[in-house]
Amino acid sequence: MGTVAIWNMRATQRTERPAVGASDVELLTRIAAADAAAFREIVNRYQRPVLRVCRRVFPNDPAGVEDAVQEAFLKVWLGAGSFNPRKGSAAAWLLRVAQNAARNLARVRSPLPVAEVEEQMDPITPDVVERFWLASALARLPEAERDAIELAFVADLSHPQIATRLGQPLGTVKSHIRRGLARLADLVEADR
Amino acid sequence: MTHDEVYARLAELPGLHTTTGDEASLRAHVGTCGVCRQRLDTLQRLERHLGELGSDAPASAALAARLAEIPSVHPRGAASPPRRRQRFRVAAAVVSVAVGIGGVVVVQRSGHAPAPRDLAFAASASPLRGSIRIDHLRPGNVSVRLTASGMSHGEMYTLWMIRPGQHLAAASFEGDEGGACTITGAAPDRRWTEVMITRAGKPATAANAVATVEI
Repeated sequence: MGTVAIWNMRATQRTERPAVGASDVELLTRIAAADAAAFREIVNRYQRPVLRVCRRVFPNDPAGVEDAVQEAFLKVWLGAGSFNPRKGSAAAWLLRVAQNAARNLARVRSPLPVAEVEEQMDPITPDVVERFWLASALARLPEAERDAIELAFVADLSHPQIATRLGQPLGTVKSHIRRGLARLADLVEADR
Repeated sequence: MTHDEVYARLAELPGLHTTTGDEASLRAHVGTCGVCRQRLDTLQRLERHLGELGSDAPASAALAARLAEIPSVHPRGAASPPRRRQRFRVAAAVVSVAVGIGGVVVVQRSGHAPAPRDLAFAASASPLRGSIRIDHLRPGNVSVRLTASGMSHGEMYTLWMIRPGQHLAAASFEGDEGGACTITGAAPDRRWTEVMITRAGKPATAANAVATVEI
């Protein structure tokens, strides 16, 4: 077993390189080649939207949610080689993986009938995929821009309220929101 | 105002309005420029979707740790061969690890843990056969690694941990296009006496057992 642990460490070190600036497609391609740094970055980006998918299937079962999320990312780690960018976006593939993981686990553990589980699954439409992607893309923004955008659009605070909450000048808050939106628009065009 | 200047400031338009009082000239350019029109559409769509996201509690520290361990718990190595999607469209080679409780398998072995055991099995009424490795990688947990073949593509099964008076669904799995799969699950170590495989959706009874393995 000690030999296994050493081998793992070497495998990780051999493939380590920065992944923060990579596109989702590039990350999946690197994960298919067993790149652990790319896997950590995809987890960082997508754990929030994957959590949301799983929470809808296991609304009162935190352990079920966490098992489903783990299963989804295990499938990403083991199955990224099956992603084909010609057939759809990385976000659409990841959404499908998350839904399948939650669905399969629910067959074993959820008290909900199969039909009710299916009702918790959004159909994979362009809008649904973009919302799934957007939740991941927020993790790619600089912290100041992410905070301002989440307070403005998710918490629905006014710009003066955000300025008070963050202790920043109003102009700075507006600037962070503008830059964050522009960055998200750049990312959505790059990941498309 | 040039195209580049307008393009750089388009994020001001959806809900923020300009701070310099020249919104009308920005909009006038957008009305005549397809590139800027498309960019503005994207910005407006993103704003709408941001408003639909809602707030979510973040992942727990325990879950974050479980996710971080995946590459080391399931090593593949940099040289693992690519999936054969050019020749065979593999649907799902490794699927559906439905971890009962716990679910974290760590690499380090405790000092006095029993040695891993490999147990072969074969179903009596179907071609399903394979092996199960029972291991104790962490005190209080038992991990189960199943390698099976002989399944029909897409046929779902459940793997149960059994002891007198108790059974626990530890994992579910299905065959890939070749009828094979490998899964790893984990469960609390409760002196399980048997591993049972049933078809998915069937209770863990002797009558439903496709295969059983004494531990």
